This record gives sequence, C-alpha cells and structure tokens, in this order.
Amino acid sequence: MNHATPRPVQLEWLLAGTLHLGTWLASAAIGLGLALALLESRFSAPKLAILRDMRIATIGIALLILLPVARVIVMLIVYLRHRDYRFSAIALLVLTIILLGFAVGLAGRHSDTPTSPVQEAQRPPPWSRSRQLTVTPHALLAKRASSRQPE
Amino acid sequence: MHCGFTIWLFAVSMGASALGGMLGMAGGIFIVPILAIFGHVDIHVAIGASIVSVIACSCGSAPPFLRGRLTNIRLAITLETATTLGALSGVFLFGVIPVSYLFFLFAVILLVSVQQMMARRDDPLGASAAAPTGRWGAALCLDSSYPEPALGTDIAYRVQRLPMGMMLMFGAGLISALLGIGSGVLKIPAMDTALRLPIKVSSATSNFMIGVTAAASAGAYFMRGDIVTAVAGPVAVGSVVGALLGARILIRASNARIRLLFVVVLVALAAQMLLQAFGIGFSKGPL
Repeated sequence: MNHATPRPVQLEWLLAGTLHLGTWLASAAIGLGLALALLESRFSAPKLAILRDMRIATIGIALLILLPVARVIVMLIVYLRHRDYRFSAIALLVLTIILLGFAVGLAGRHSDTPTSPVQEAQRPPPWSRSRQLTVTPHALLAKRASSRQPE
Repeated sequence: MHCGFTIWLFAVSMGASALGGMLGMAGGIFIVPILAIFGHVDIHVAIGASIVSVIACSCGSAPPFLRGRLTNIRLAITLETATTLGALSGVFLFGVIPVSYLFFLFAVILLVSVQQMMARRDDPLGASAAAPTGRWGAALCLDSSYPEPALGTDIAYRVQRLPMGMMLMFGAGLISALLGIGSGVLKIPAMDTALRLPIKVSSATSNFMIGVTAAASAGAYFMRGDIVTAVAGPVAVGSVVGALLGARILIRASNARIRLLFVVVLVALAAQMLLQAFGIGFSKGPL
C-alpha cells in the first residue's frame, strides 16, 4: 500500500517549484503591466499606449490562468514516466475538462456589433471588455470612452 | 487607470487573501462582496476578478504546503475530476440562475458548515488511523501520512467515503464557478465529514485543488471576455502577496485556533450573504 512513498515527495518538490516560479512570473507581468499603464496615464500619453500596456497585464492574467493547467500537465508527465497509467488517465481527464471550459468560453464570446469601421479598428481586445458594466470605476469608464471614440 | 482605485484594490485583496490563506482557503469569498459593495464594481466584473485572484491565492500559497508534505496530491487530482466538472456546469448555469438566489443558497450552506464545525471540534486523527480503509481509498493508494511538529512524528491517516466526497466536490466546483470563490469553505467541511481527513491535510489539499478548479471557470470567463484587466490585475497581485503571508501563519498555528477563526468567519460571511440575497447590499445590481 505504501509503494508510492518516495515518488510523491519528488513530485511535491517539482510541483512546488512550478507553482512558485509561475506565480512570480505571472505576478511580475501583471505588476509591470499595471505600473506601466499608471505611468503612461500620469504623463498623459496617447490613449493607445494605455491599451498596449494593459495588454502586458492581460498576458500576466492569462499566464496565471494557465498555471494550474501547467501543474496538471507536470503531474501527467510524471505519472506517465512512472508508468502509473491509472493516475495518468485521471490527470488527462482533469486536463480535458479544463480545456473544455476554455472551449465553452470561446464559443460563448460576446459578440459586439461595431457601428462603424473606425470603432471596429479601435476596439479593445475582447478580454478587456466586460459584458454589463453598469457601475464602472473611473478607470474603466475612461478607458472604454477613449477606446470607443474615433480620434 | 486610476491610481487610488488600483491601490485600494491591491490593499483589499491582500488583506482578504492573507485571512483566506490562514484558513486554507482562497480570499475570493471576501473579495466579491467588498468589491461589489464598497468598490461599486459590477458583480460580473467582481466575480471575474475574484476567480483570477482565487488562482493566484491557491498557486502562491501551495509551495510551502507541498514541501511540508501536508498536501495529498493523489487525492487532490482524483477529487479535481469532480471539482472541474462542477466548475464546467457552473459556467453553463452562470447566466441562467439569478445571482440573488445563489447568495441565499450560499448563506444556507455557510450556516450548515458552521453547525458542523461547532458540533465536532476534535481532529478525527485517532479514529482515522484506526478506521478500516475505504474501498476506493485503498484501490487508488490515497492513504498517506503527514508530519506533526508537536509530536515529532508522522501521523498516518486514511481516506474514507470517496464517492460521497466526490459528490460534495462537484457541488463545491459548481459554487466556485458561479460565485467566483475558491469555495474552500465547502471543500474543507466536505473533506472533514466525508473523507475524515486531519484538518491540516484537508486545508492544504483543498487549497491545492482550488487553483485547478478555478482555472476551468476562469479560462471560460477569460475567453468569453468577462475578465477586466484593470480590476483583475491589482486584485491578483494583492492576492499573491496576501496568500504568502497567510500560509506562513497556518503552518505555525494550532488546529483549535484555526477552527475557531474558521467558525467566526463563516458566521460573518453567512450574515453578509443573507443581506445580499435580500437586496440590501446590492440595490443597484443588474440582476
């Protein structure tokens, strides 16, 4: 019953390292992106610069969301290497369900019909919009207004 | 970008996440109400930001638990099949069920959890080691042990009633996706009462599972365009810092203290959720 004792300890350190590194990387990207966006807004730079710098923070958020996925992939690889096919199958199942979630979101992406080609060109990326911003903080309000206005 | 608002988001998330980390759960459960009530952020944006912060909390605080051998990885990946499936169902239900109903349901679940915690204040340690192994626990080699610094030895424990645990985990995943919370408050009681794990193991394992569960729904919301970077960014960074602080406190604190703090927070949250369910907090909510 205890045949798995030495292996999980190694796996634990591997997972700890992955999560540690991934969290710092993603947080650093988000922090950097936010800091740049704040600096740009302070010195009243062109609005497009704000959008570009928010993109760095958005990439950081994407990294953070992908981190647990990476963690499951690491587990899958380790279980496969140890020929533990039962747990490989379980890890693969979890991975499949998560990816199915991504696919469901992609299929349900909010369609925002643009009224003019100018608006279409200056629309922020789909992930920086929200569906129902009835009560927005100032930042969002300003960002949305600037991104929708033709210059 | 509004500097003051960004810093406020950061500070709130850090505090919420530190408290959550101490209890072995993510801070999303505090973040959603605070952002919606005090920050006047739209509830959907708050949920989107919170689910990202939930991942940040889980991943940021997991390494010390893993190195301390408190996390049962095999049990975690087994239960994650149920939690991610629950999260996927939650994504489908997100637009169908009115949020006010869910807050009410959640308040009820919180109160049931409080009652469970109050009724049984001891760890099921002795009982767990002596108890016969569950059928599934034995088949999947889920039984393990963890180091107890107070005794200086490893304490063995057994995993019991796995099918019941899986069902409760499905529910926890569903609530997690719908409300943008880690639902550690649901996972930990499920692990205590169904699987009969020591509280330190259930806290660490639950925290480890929360990230993967939240990734299933966060991925869907991100792809759908529900996650606003200006709000989710500061909340995520604040949560990582808070989770690091909280995890250090949990490993040093005693079981009885964790449990007492847990009960107090559950009662406070239940009251808050009830207020929101009856529209007192959310007078301008879109739903």
